[in-house]
Amino acid sequence: MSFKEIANSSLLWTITAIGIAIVVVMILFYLRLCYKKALEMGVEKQTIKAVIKSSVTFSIVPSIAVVAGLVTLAVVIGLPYGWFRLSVIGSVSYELMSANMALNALKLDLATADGYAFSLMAWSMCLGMTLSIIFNLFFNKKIHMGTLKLGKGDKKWGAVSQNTFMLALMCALLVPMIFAGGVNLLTFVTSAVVAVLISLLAKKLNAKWLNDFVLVFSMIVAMASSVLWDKLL
Amino acid sequence: MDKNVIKVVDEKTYYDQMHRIGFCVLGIAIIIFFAIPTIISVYFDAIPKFSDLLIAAGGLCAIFVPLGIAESFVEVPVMGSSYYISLVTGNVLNLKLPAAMNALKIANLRQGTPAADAVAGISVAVSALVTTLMLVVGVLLLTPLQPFLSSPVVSTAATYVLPALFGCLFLGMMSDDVGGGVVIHKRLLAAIVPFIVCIILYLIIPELYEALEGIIMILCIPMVYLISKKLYKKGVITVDMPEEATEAAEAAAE
Repeated sequence: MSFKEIANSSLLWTITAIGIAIVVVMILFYLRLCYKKALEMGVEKQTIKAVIKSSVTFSIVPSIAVVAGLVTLAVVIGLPYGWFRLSVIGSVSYELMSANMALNALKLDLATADGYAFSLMAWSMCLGMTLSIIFNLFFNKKIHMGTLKLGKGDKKWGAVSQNTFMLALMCALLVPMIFAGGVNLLTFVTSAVVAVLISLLAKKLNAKWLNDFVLVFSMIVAMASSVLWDKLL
Repeated sequence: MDKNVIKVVDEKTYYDQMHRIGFCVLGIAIIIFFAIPTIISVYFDAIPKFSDLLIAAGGLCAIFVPLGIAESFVEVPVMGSSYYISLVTGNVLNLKLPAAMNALKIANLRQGTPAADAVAGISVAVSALVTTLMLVVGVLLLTPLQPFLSSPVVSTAATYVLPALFGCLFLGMMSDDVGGGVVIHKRLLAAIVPFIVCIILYLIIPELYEALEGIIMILCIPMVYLISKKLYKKGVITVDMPEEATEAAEAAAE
């Protein structure tokens, strides 16, 4: 069978759909569990509703970017496996890189690729990402509990030490966004400015609900502005 | 959202249960990840040779395995037990992490507590469901949506998702209020030196910086941690706990 025949085969459609369905069931189970736990611990229903509402609205726009990636990926690896990889662990750039490396290993291209090339590509996509999460399977708890123990004797130092991880993460993440300059920097600044304006507006109008949507609105405006900055620069 | 009266729960019991469930969820997901290439290669009689696999996947593993492990040392403490479900559904930095940070801000909960862990879990699960649903819609409507999704406007906007997200989140990070009524004064001082180090690294290796981000994050942890400890001990970084505010209010009332 050829690469394209396997990539669009009914077997692949079936097993990827089953795989995604199992993942969705697990997410729903986990959501229900967290919801119950949060209520038990005294988090108000209203607060949880606000979190859910904000998470839904916030996730839509970045998800459009993921769906847009599917268009590119489907051309290379077919729709069913592209759908599966992006619904689970994958990212467009990683999957394209792995597909390319698999085809290069066999000295083939998309036009000449056979079924064996598809199998090799599927395996290399799986291995590159999954091996590191096998580490997480066994060490997440150790890392998490280890960091929670920091500053156990001193509550105040405990709060400071927990905060250090977030600060470290932000230091590393923010630098390329700010220092790449150009559209990156302008989009970043637009998002920050819009966030300030919405917060001020919420305060002035006494519209507390607006605070739950600061991230959504600032992200949408900033992404729209990136198109303008891109044209201007 | 200050109405929450958070009950004290046995942290060990809570985290043990959540990690046990996370372990099962991630374990099942890993089986699914491997099952698909296994079924395909067996059914179509195309099991890859080890030598081909080494050439095709060796380079990828050499890059992505250490990076994935490095990132987890920074992301696990921030995301807690919701990290398992984040790994299953991917898009950690551009969706799950911002979703969790946003949720803690809305619920006014401090990271590192069971209540914050559960609320972060809700936001991560909801975010994962939205992406999955959007992808289903994308698959069903790929042909009519293709012109829109592959238009230059969407491509450009999609390129700048991260700065659009983190510009807003950055402001929240600037505040001394870390949620749950805890205020850490001058905490950002500890980030100055690591931030400068990151800038220097970025200027020296701009092309490699993003590929090595996980390693750079790991380098930043001990720097931020040790500087925070020094400044805390010297009394430069100070902390107001919520119980102190309540006691002060009660004393004032008396």
